[in-house]
Amino acid sequence: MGESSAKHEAQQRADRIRAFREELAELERQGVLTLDAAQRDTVERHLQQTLADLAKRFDVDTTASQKQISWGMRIASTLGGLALCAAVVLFFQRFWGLLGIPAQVALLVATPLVMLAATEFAARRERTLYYGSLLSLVAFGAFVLNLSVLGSIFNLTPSHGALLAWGIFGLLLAYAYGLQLPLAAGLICMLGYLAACFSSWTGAPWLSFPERPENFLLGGLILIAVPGFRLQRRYAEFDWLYRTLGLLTLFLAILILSEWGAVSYLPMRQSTVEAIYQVTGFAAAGLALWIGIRSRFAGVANLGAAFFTLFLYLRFYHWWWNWMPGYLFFLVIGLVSIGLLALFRKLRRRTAEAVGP
Amino acid sequence: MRRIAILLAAALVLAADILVVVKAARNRSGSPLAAIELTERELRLVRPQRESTALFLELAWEPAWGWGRFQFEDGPGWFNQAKLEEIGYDCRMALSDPSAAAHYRAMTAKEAFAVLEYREAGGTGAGDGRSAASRLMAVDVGRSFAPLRKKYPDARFLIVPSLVRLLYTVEWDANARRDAPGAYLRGAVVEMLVGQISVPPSQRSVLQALRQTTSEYLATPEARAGGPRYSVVLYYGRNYEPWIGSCRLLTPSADDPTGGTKRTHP
Repeated sequence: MGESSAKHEAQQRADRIRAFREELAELERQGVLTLDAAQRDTVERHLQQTLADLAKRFDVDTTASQKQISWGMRIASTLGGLALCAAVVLFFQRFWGLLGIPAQVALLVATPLVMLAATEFAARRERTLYYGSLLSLVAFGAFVLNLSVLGSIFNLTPSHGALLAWGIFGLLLAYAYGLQLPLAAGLICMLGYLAACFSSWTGAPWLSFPERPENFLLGGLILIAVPGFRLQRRYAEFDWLYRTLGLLTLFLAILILSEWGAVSYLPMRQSTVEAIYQVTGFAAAGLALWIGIRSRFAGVANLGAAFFTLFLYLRFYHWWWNWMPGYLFFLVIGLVSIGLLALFRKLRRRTAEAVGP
Repeated sequence: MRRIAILLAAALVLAADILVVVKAARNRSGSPLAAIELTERELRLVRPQRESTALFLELAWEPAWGWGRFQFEDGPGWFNQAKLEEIGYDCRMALSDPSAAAHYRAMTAKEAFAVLEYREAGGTGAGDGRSAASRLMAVDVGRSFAPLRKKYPDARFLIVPSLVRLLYTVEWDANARRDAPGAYLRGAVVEMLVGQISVPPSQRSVLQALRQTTSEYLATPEARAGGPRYSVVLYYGRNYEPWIGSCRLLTPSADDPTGGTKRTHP
């Protein structure tokens, strides 16, 4: 098991212990269960010891307030990383004109390497990796700057190979330290790279890849499938990010195609393409909702429900907005929302029954 | 595992940078494919951001591309449907088809070599000697460099990798000043693959003295009287990528119709 995965599980265990303590106190308060002093001491000593071990080995949050502060630190680390990236870019732009080409190249090459070393240094000093995460984001930004500016200095034709290099760099950082921010950045670059390759294969310039949403479908499907690979099981804490990013990519591409079929590769009439993607959208969102509930992937179920609703409302808009009075249209939308609430509630009750007492 | 990943990341940075430098060196090795002296009309001074000290020159050509209508609306000109099909556009759908507009407007750009002809003042379409318009005119496009170089061997023709786009254009009634029934297909050179050219540090001192970017300068009355402020020798290398050879400031001269410009041959 990877170090970050072990830490993820340690945090889950610490959360379970905290919930167990709270529930035990509640049961005792209601008189349902009363432990004698010796039993309580034994349990409490065991829990304290376990939490102390977890905190020592993985630096996990053992209290609710610690967890809240950790969230604040994560946000500060992300914002700090983004601000430092901006600082590096603007610093370079400010002094670019004052340096000769060898100095420009040396500075551009050195910055991501120094930031990599700084990330490693921070990771060795601090197990929670807040500083490591911040510095890894700066290293990623410095590498993006590196290739973009080198390309500008030498007037090179833009290449989608840069997206691949940035993607691999982000993934290496993410898997080395178990960090989610470089993973998200790396995956977005990889999605862009795959879409650019697809665009090139169809004979269009790679730079046109955002113009055809179908270019992104393959990348989205690959991201959704990655958590199922055996190698990935060591990094289970990344699974939600793969699924969420993959599904978002897929749903957004389908959404655009269901509204504007002219940008599809399918050799059919625009209205036919739109109809195909409307049906696909409903099916994919319904499937995501079903799989999310069955497999207890909360993010997948939520995204499925959100896009199912969005697809439905867009259909209503196209069917009724032009001929229905506004008040009636919104009344229908309100009634449908109530219907959807009832449906989701039923689903929720069934899920609870399936879990059992 | 962690150490290997970090070493791989560092190796990736170095490998990517070496690749970039080798690519740039290869482009500039041997004799250049093209060399031409252009003025501020064709290579416009831009500064990317307020705080930036970087200087770039942006290649400008005619007809200038914008997302609206073109300057001339009287037909497709040389970049007609046949030329579009020649560079790979599928134009089989009849223009009378109800979905033709959406079909053609959704077509993506294509990479092609654009032929830009440098026209002296007084030549066709470039305007007078003091006009701010670029004297580089897009005159042809093609899929490969060699046949175009064979067709346009003269040094006044620059052959540059670019993006071209198909435009579905509704006929225009010039008298009534409104759309007329019917439509036609035309192409446009919309972007050069390397449109912004970095000014090397050795030449920066020449252009740094200019306080205004070209767009700021062209908005002043001095621009009309003085003409372009500098000229630049531009080279294109083996990878069809440009670089700046030298820059010099021009002194306004009323009797020089080209604004002090001459062409150099590779």
